[in-house]
Amino acid sequence: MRTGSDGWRRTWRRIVGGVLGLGLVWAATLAPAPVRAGGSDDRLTIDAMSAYGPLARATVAFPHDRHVTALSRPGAPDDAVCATCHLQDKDGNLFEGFRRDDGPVTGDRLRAIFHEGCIGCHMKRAAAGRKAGPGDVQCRGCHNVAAGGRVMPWQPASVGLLAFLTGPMLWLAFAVFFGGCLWRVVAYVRGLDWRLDRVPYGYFRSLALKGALRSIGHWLLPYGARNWRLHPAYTAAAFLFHVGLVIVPLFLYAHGVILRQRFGFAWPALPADWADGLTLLAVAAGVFLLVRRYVLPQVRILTTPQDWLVMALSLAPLVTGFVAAHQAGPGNGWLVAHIMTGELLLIAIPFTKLSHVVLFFCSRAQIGMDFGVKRGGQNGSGIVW
Amino acid sequence: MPEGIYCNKRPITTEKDLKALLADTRGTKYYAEMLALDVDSDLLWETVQKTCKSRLRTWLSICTHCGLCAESCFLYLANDRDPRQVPSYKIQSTLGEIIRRRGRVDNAFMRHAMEVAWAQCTCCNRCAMFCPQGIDVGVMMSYLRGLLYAQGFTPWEMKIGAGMHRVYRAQMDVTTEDWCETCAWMAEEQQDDWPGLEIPVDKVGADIMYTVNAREPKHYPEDLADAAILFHLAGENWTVPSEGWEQTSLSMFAGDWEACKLQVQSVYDAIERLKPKRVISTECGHAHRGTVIEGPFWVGRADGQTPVPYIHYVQWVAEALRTGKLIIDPAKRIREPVTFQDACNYVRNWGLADEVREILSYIVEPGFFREMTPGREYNFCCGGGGGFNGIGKFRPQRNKGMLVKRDQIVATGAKLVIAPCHNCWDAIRDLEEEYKVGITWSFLKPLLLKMVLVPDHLKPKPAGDA
Repeated sequence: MRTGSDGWRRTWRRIVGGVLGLGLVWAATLAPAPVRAGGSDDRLTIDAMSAYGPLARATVAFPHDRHVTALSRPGAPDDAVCATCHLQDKDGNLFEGFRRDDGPVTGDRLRAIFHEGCIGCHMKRAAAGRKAGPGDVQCRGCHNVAAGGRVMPWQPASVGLLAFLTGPMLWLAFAVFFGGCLWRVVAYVRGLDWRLDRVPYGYFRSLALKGALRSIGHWLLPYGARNWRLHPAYTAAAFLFHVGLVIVPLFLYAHGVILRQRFGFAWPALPADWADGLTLLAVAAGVFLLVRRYVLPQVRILTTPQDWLVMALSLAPLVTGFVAAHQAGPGNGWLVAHIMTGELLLIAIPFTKLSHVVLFFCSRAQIGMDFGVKRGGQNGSGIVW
Repeated sequence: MPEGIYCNKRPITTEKDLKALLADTRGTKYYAEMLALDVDSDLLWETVQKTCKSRLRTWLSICTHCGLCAESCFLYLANDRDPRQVPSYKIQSTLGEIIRRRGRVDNAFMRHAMEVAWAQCTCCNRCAMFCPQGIDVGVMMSYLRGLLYAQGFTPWEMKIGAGMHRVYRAQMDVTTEDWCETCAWMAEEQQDDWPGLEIPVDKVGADIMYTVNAREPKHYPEDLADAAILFHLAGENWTVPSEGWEQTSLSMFAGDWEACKLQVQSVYDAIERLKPKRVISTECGHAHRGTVIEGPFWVGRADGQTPVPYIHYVQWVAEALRTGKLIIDPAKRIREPVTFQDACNYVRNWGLADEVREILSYIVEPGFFREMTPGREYNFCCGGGGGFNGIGKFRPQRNKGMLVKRDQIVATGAKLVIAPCHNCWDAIRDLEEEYKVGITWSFLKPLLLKMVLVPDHLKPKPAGDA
């Protein structure tokens, strides 16, 4: 049985499937470039964060001399170069730490100093067209000391590609996502019609609001509605799946680094193991939902190719993101795949059943108003969910 | 074949056509013609574009195919969890397909859709309560019925029923004359037991205007007498209209929206003529749904309100018991295990679950009421709503569907089922006939009459007194 509406959506599915497939194949072929031989022994290990607790990322092998060379300009005094990264006391002596004095500093502040300082400088240089170190999506470019102290060579992956994917393509993906969702909501509201729907829009506003909020609230809470309670395992999976999909991208520290770099602010982040845990739970829940969709006849009969595609598209950023963050090897294929699938997911949302991201609220509000005003809300027990 | 003699796209609008269609026993010729009836795809698609907008389109497109609606549907459960009975599947494979194919569907598809719309759904709206997205498949099925009816693909009895409303403004061929005569006859018959009993017709400015189901004057006129006696006992100032007295809506079951509007308008016209303080429905679920809940919108009232307050019989009974207008003799309360059939149209869809139980607290001896599981707003359809009871072609499917209600009743251990709704009452009667589980069933009126205290001034005087 097919769902998914008109012919153009079928065409779109084929296009997306094709692009996704090609993109993943291509990303996976981004083999690590040969390691440039002959670095110096100039490596300072930065592990200052270990004073605050277990490290969430590998330590950093910092090539100090390389940086000095990169920052030197002919005719400039040495001091000027050092002052780029080292603060001075009132006597002109340099503090050892990066951009801080000897005073106490919190873990969060120190982490911010490193990320904003290092990455900010790299990105400014890259924007000016000069060779620069890892940018805001290349965590492992700096966090590069593997087990046993071996330093992973940094693969600067095609700067053009990453710049595109994290630049114009990212803007496009979000524009389509926000614009598309807004369009869906506006189109929804404009298409409501009291004559056709037989719902008294605009009347009994406080009853309507109450009905809408109760309708949304009961279903937004795990086990808040009777049918959630009647299917405890499904509900657990559905909520874990959605919580991971929504919470992790919003509150991942690494994403916050990007936000801080691009917009100058970010909100508090999840601790790293929470992010990992939620991601794994979401993926496990997703697998449960996939198996359920195949195994249960009442779900299988409803299933269309779009359901499989949408689930693949939803799981891909979680899986690729997790691997990209934790992998031992130096290649950027997983990172590129993560960004591409994330962007594809965002673009897909307004045009598929994923539009329930916004339309869940619209539809639930509407049925809440229907029952809350017309079908019982004005009488004793009203409607129950 | 574009149009048959019996089966065509034209609604029945004359008595002659109505009688002709009725004469085609069981719709034999009607259904034979349906096998060759053309589908007007242009009209179908044009109608969809004009009338299927955000609410329904969004429901169809954001359904996430989770399958959580399956177990909410009594027909899915009764049919051994046949996946083809999953509400989402039922609507996606019919209305969803019509939209996907832009109306390019054939005769076989429409006949199949007819079976889905009238034999695989009673529009009880239970699935609406169980869908995470708030999708009401029952509402979509009703819409689908409208599309099918306009194309001529509707069950024989539905076409007749809609025709009845168009011709008689009642679901049966009861004219104003028949109606008034029946009222007079019932009042007269009761004079010995209830001296002074009246069934006032067309009284202006009464407190209550009472509207009924045409089956009552046609087949169960005692029900009218019962209603009159109870109003009499309660000391109500009431009336019935000579026209606009019937409030059911087989037209709603048929998907004949124009007939729905005509029917509702006739009742509202009566309200305007007689100016009662309020109107009371008889013990019927879909009548209340059609005239009070959906009705205002059909006649152009955007606020969804009837011209004056219009309550269900259950609400009047609860009020009468609460305020002492009717007083129950505690010695005569029900003393056998009894259960209650929560009618979808005024419990799930109008919120009267508490009122009903308030009534039961007066008329049932404590300890004897057994709730069905699930009960209240979550109760299952009786099995016969939405026209199912009346469609001969789909009787086997209806009988299969009733197994869920049967099992619910048996599980309560109740001997009596109270069912203040004509469709529920019929379904439970048929359930007993088919499955012989050993129950009796009743409307509220006969039960109340058995146990209500009669004030002295209303008792008949002994013979011989002046």
